[in-house]
Amino acid sequence: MNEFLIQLLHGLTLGALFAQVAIGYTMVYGIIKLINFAHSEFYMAGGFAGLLSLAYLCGPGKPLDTLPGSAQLLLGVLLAGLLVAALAVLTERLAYRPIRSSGRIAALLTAVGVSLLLQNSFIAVFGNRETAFPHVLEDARYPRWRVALDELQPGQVSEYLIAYRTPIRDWKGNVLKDANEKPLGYSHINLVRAGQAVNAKNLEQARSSSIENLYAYPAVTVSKKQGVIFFSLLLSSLALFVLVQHTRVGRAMRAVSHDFETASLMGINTSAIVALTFAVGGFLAGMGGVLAGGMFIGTVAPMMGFMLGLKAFVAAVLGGIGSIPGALLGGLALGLVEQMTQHYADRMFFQGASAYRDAIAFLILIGILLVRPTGLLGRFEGEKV
Amino acid sequence: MNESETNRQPVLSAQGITKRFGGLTAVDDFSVDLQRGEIVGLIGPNGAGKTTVFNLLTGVYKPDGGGCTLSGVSTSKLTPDRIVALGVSRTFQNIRLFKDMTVLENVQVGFQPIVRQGLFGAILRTQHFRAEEKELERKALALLDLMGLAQLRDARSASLAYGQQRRLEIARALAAGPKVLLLDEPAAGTNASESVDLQELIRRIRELYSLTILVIEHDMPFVMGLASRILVLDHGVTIARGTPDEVRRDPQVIEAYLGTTEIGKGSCP
Amino acid sequence: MLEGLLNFPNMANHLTLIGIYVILALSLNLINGSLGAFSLGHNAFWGMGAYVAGMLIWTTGSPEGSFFGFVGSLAAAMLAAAFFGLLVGIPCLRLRGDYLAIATLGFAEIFVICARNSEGWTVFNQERGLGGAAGFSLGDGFQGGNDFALSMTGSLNGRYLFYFAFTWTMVALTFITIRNVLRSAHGRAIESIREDETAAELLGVNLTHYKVLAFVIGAAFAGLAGALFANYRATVSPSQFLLMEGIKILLMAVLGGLGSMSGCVVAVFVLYVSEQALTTLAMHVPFLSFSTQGFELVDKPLKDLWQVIFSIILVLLMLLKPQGLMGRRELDRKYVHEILVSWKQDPILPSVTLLQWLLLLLTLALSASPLSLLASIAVVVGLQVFKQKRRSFRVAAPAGGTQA
Repeated sequence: MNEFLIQLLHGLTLGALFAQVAIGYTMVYGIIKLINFAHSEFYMAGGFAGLLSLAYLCGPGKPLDTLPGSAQLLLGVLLAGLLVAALAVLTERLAYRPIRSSGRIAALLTAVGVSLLLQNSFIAVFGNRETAFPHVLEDARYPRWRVALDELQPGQVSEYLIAYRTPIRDWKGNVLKDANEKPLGYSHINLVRAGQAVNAKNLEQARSSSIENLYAYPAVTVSKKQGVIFFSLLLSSLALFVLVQHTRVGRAMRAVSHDFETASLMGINTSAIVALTFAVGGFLAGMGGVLAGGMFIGTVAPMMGFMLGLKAFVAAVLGGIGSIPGALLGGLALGLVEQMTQHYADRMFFQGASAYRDAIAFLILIGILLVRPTGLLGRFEGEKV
Repeated sequence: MNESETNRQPVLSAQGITKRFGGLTAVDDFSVDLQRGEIVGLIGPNGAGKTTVFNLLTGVYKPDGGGCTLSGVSTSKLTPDRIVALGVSRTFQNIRLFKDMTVLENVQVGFQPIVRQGLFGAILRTQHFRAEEKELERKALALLDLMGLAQLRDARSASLAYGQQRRLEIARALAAGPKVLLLDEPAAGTNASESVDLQELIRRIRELYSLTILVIEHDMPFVMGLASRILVLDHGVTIARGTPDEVRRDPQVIEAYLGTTEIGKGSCP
Repeated sequence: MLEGLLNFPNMANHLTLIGIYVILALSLNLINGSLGAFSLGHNAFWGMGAYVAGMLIWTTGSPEGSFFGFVGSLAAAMLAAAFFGLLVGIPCLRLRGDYLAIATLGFAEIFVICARNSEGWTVFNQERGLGGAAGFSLGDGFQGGNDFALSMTGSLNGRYLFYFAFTWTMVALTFITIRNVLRSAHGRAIESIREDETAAELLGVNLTHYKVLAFVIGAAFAGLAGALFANYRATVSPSQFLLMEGIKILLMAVLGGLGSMSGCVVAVFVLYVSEQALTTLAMHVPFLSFSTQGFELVDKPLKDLWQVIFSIILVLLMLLKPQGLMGRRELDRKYVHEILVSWKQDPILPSVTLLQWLLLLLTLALSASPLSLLASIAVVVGLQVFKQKRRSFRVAAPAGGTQA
């Protein structure tokens, strides 16, 4: 059961990332009926934008390096979001607007071209490899409660996992420090596992190291990083909800997505609304990139957008393309399915089945398109003869 | 069935067909029996459901109630291309030609229900294939000739003038030798003299090809002069049926269209 | 560069590959151009053909190989790819443009994923299945003498010559077959679906039948290309059939003009030659690069930037000339006649075009500096603007005038 809950949390985290990117796909499709293939590259660009912002502003020796980690992360996320929003608007202006009248296939091909252009440009600049994302947030798992070292006796059976954080040391035992005299990093050391007895040697070692914070953890925990991802999605969704449902601009967006021509006849500046939609979608994708790079994967790479983008698109279709709640639902659902497949498929089907987890997303896509193309929450668009 | 019975059986028959879109009833309990050689008119204000009736008759929509038969064969379970193969053909309110194909090719597509060539015959260019292609070209040119379009055979159909495009669409609809022709506002965009020419053309093709015709039109003189019977639709409901004179005087029809003035004197708004 | 190109085995090699790409472009053109569908999964049909042919040769081939085995592998590949086309085509029938694109993409990705994980498919080979991500080679590969073309002709040069001749025979076969299909009632039915599906159905065109037909024929020929490719290269691996390859073929078809078969042939030549030219050019371009030191300008060899250039070409093509080089026209007598007439009426335009091409080719062939390339591109663009201005001033422009 615990194993299942852990996988559930992982799946929801993954799903939150899918959802963050899927919203952008669905918003753009809702408004100009275009599948923005380049959206996955906006996500990737966001990851790099975050990386560069943090490196140049918050790195050792840089102006803002004294900011606390969470503030740095927030800064990185916001900057990445803004930069990618700008990129998205630029792309719309230069590549999509001119071909709006040229038909669906031209638009799709252009989108494919832009996507490839971004991918290959980033590969040319950054190389086709993973780059580590700056470490700004100390991870922690919750719930947890403090344990005093004195409380423990050798041989005592512990109900929970007990672990502590200690700075990384060199072979002599000296703490490794960076340019600012802060510890280079920390490692978590388990003192005793759940259901086992405290080992005297471990206790001795703990007493002699300068341990910081001894904590007990239950079997199922949520990490701070996961929390950040969930919280970001929650915040984004709320902000988006308020924007779309309770502002004039939001009303205009809804009008344009229902009927482009009529909206423009009603005096709505459709070009501005389209640009805004791209900006919002891009912002969210950029956020997603930073969150994925910093909080989930730990690295950014020029090709990171490809798979995730495709899956986020599947999520958008699953939830109903054009529907924002659908994108949320679809994203979370797909994340769960993929995580469960990865973890359980080997046992349930055959050894090596989990390698096919990427294929699951595509099978779902094809299935949805055949059975219920409007997705779970989407609306039907018929053709007038 | 013997000869006289076949002649008495309606070529096309709709029995109480109904179509709903969500809460809207677009067509409510529509019935008509088209006898061989008739020209029947279908009129009504915009949005009355006339084109929807055509879509129901040709299988584009499946009726929510009722059904149609073509020469006694029920069409409710058939796809549009099978229904067309049974002998119905139609034109469209907004002309739907194959824009990037030539005039000749447009007509040739119309032969689809009667084409016999196999794929391998086409690939290998057999005698049978070539003979059929020749025959199809000959027939297509004959139709184009009738419409006065033969000299434009290799022009891109999108480059034709509006009136020519209308006639091409009719030629295309005639290609497979249908028994019933459904014309959707054929006189739209024509002036008075063109409208008279079109009436002539329609009478001619009815003679030549033994057609039964159902015409949707807004142009009153046109439809009154052409049809022997008229049905009037308003908001999906058949509010009147009868000869042109009867319909012209029907108070319900007058009200549906204009409110007070008599119809039939000049064109409709 | 020119000398390298002109020696015999090199020439034959390039032309063989060009031939394979032409078959691929023609087969894609049938689906995307003539039928008007938007299939993004053509690389999977290609790969399917390659894998099937490869498997057949690998498991049943004798050391010297045999002509029957070779032709057999081609036929089997076509059948397998056609079947896969059926599998893909039937579900995708009811999908519109965008959705169809994504669905075919999904199928193609599933194929690639399966290919990458194929070590476990031990039906054909107990040890390594189908080789997984690394793929497999057909026997010991032709270097090891295990190749029928090699044993039949007795020399490496002979092998090249054989494949060149055979491939282009296949190209001719493909071209003629597809053209014959298109110039028949079946072809007209297929094109009518592209023009207006609903109207076509209401004229008696069985949509299901013809959409599937186009997919199946297109897939079959892609499979043929795959089989030729596998036999020629003597190896098969998933990395040969990635999505990027599919996009490359799509670019070739679009550049030529979706719907134009002769356009495909021209476009394949243009793209292939450009790619070879730019990747073998010993030119270095200053480009941004990021490393642990941060951003800096490094001299990158042009061939590393080929992918970037390729993407820019695609975007520019869609922005400036989405109908490609030839639109839907074919390079037939009427077209050539029209060109000649327009040339007679205004000889300046074609001469300027000739000048543009000469300038570009000479720069590529002779110089080795980015500056001169940039300069000549600037001149070409300037001349293009001049041509546009001149065309728009011409009052008596010929109807159906062509671009130059």
